[in-house]
Amino acid sequence: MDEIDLQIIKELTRNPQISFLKIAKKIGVSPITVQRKHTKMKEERTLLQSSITIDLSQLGYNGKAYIMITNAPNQERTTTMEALRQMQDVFICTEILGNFDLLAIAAVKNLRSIICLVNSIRKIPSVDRVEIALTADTAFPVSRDFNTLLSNINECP
Amino acid sequence: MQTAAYLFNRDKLITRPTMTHRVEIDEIDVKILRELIKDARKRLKDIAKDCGISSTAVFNRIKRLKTAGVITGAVQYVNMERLGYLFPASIGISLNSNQEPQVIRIIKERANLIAFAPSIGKSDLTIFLVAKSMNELDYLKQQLKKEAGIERITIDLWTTPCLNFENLNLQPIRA
Repeated sequence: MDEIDLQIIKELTRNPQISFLKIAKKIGVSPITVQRKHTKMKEERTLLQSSITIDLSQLGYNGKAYIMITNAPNQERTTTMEALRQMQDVFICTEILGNFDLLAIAAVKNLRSIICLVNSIRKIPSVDRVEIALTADTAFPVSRDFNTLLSNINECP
Repeated sequence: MQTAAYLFNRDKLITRPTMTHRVEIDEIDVKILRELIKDARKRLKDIAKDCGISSTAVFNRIKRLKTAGVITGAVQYVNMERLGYLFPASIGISLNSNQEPQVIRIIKERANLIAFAPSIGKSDLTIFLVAKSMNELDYLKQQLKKEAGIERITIDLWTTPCLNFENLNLQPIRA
C-alpha cells in the first residue's frame, strides 16, 4: 500500500459515494489511476464493501441484540458460524477469543422477535449457552464514529 | 446491572432522531435499500435496471428515503488489518452507578472507537473498537478499571468478523 492508496481510502471513507473523478481531482492523479488502484484494493480485499447506513427505527425495528454464544464442547465453531450466517436479521457475526466463543449482532423488532431469535440459536446443535445484551440504538450497521476513525488514520502501516 | 427505567432515561446517549410518523416503504424501496446495503456505490442506472424503473425514479426514491431519515449516510469498510489495526474487539462494561458519561469520555479519548451503545442484559455498555496492539487494549482496560462505579470489564477479541448485511429482513411498510 502506498500514499495514494491511503489517500483514496480516506476520500472513500469520508464520502463512500464520491466519484473517481472527484477523488482524482482532490489528490492530483488521473481518474484512471484511481480506478486502477480501487480495483486492485478491492481484489486484495483491502477495500471491503461499502453500504448505506439506515435508521432501523424507521423500518419497524426497535433495537439491536448482542448475542454471546458458548459453543458445545467438542463441536466445531465453524458449524455455528455457518448457521448464524444464514439467520435472518443477524447482520454481523464473529468467532471471538474471550469470555464466549461467538458473538452475533442482530436487528430486533420486538420482544417476540428476540425470543424467536434466541430460541433458533439455541436450536443449533453445536450451541451450548446463549446470553444477550439489548440496546435501543437503531443505527445500522454501526454509528457514524467508524468514518471518523478511518479519516483520522494518517500513515501507511 | 441497571433497571429498565434507567435505560429509557439515557436516550440522549443514543444517536436517535425523535420518533416521527412511520415512513411508507413499498417493495421497490425495499429493493433499492437492499441494493445499496450491498454496495453503496452501485450506479443509479444499474439499480434502475434491476428494479424495472427509470434512473430518475430511483434518484427520487433515494432522495425521499434520505429526507424521511431512513437512509442516514454511507460507510466504506476497510480491512483494518492492512492499516495496522490488528485487534478488533468488543468490550462489555457493567456499571453500578451513573458513570456512563465518564466512561464514554475515556473510551473516546483513548480508543479507536467503532461504535458504542448503552445496553441492558449481560452488560450495561457495549463498545466496539479496533486496537493496534494488545498493549493498547490492556492500557485501556487499566484506565477503565480506575473509574469508580465500574463493576466488571470483559474484552473479547474478534477473530473472524463476518458482515452479512443482506440478512436484514426488510419488509414493505404501509402507513
